Amino acid sequence: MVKYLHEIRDPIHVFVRLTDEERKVINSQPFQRLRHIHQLALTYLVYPGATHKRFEHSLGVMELASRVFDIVTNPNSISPEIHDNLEQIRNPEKLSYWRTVLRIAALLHDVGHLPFSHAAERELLPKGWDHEKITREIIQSEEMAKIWSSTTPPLRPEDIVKLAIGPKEDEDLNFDAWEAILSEIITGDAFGVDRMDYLLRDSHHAGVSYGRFDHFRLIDTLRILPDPETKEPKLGIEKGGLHSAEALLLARYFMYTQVYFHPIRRIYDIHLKDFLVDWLEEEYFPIKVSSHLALTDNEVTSGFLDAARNGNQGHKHAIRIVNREHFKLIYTRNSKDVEQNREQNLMVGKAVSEALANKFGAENFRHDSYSQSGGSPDFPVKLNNDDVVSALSESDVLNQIPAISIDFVFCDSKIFTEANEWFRENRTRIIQNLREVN
Amino acid sequence: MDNSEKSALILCIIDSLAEKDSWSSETRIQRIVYFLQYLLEVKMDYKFILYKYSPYSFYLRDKLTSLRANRLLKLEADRYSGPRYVTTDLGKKYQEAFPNTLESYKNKLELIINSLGTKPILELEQLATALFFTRLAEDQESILLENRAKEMKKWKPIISIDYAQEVVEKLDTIRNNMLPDTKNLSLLHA
Repeated sequence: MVKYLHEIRDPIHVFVRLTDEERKVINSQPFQRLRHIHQLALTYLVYPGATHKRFEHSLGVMELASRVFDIVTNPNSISPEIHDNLEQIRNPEKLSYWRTVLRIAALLHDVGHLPFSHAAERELLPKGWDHEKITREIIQSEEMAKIWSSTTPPLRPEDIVKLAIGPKEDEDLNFDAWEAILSEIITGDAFGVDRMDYLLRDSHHAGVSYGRFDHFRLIDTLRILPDPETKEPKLGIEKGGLHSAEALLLARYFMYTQVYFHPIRRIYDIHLKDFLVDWLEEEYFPIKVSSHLALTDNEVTSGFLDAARNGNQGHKHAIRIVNREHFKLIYTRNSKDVEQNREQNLMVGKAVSEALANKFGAENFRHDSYSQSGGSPDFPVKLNNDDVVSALSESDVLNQIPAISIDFVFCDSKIFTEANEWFRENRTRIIQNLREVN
Repeated sequence: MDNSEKSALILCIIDSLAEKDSWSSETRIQRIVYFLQYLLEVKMDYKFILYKYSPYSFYLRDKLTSLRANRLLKLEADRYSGPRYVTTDLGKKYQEAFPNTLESYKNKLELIINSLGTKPILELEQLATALFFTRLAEDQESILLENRAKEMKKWKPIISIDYAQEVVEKLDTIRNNMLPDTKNLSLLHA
């Protein structure tokens, strides 16, 4: 029987309860550092309330992870087919072990994050490094190893790494059916609790309603079900939870389009990245664990405030952040431009950006593009007659939710009027941009 | 192969499956790309891991969603088969900009689609897993060729060792037919 001896108040989940071992993890230096890493980078410059940190988000993910685990492994929730396929479900000791690992992995899933989270990762870590690799290094570090060996039974760090990082980020790790299900609980496309928590939490702190959905009802209806096509075990829902699942996926769509991909938020990310390229002493963020742990948003914020005020390294990018002199949106891709462009939409924003840069200077423009990743919005649904079907065939809503793609071009506000006028005059020629076929 | 060329080839794979009346679910597309890469050495550079019961690429999964986000693909639902990917008019037009790329892979694509494209999905899953363990044996030497069936059973305990052995032999025959110049693994089962 798990003993929760400690509790922490939380604005989203009311209480997050902890065991003694989890408290040791929370008291560790790597986890305490998350008090100083913003969940949404510089989004507070657009939504002033969005100052929440990865610390409380990680607590929330842990709380939700075990709620889901308890529901999906309840004997009343498990079909004979799943019971036969997943040996761990039949073994109470293994279930108890994996529940502990799942909670710890959920706590630590973001522990390797750089200052200001995703804003600068790809360009500012050495090749082959990302925050997931740093997360692995931390979980396997000496400080954390002492905690794993002191639990009863001892926890295998490689199990925590697997669930904390997930299957995409480490190409050397294979995931059997049970590990894959546990990983889906944390980082799964449809029902991952990482996403559930950040949608609710980000929505709350930003002061918008877009991210809200009935997560109580949704979690209550989660089940491990056989995929209709492949029969592999997969996280799905009972039919009664379909509308709350639709609400979750709609929440994701609205939060992405209205908050995460707000153009001003995106350009601030770019200005921050430009500042960091200048400011970091060795071009890259440190990857040694001790150096990584010493660097938080506080040091970077001091850095850009100092640079803005005193003309130090990174000054021109720092004033764009501190004085709010961010670049302005001069072009957003639309479907008509896509049809006119010979290369069919993937190059339109780039063509616009290059044309403007050739005319007015590359330093005055930034191009930002992104296409949604992850899986399709499909999952198994168990009907009242026990048939298991595809959610996309059962829901009128899911196939209508678009996958998101953005393509922005930003311009220095000092030359915006002139550049915009030139762009309007030359727009058609630039968009059509005929190129030789290969 | 650059990103744009990969996009064109994936769209072409989906159209080719549709021409054969084969349901182009994500699972089937994953298997076809896996066979193209590792049976016929088409360099798409997608990394595959063993995920649940068979090889899977999260980067290929992301690519399919990205193509959907850019309106080159859409999803069509089916109650019991799960959804399939279908190219849009924009997706068909996109392929027209890559005639040389698609021509250069045409024969290999036809070979895979004709041999494997319409097989039942569970059979494709097992053949792909057998190929995964064959690669482990040949490229990394981390298992023995003769132990491939045992490794498959270890990974998916619910299948019988006899069935796993049958799948391994089937794969070796397929390889031998497609690539007569490579080592004839069918001799192992003689």
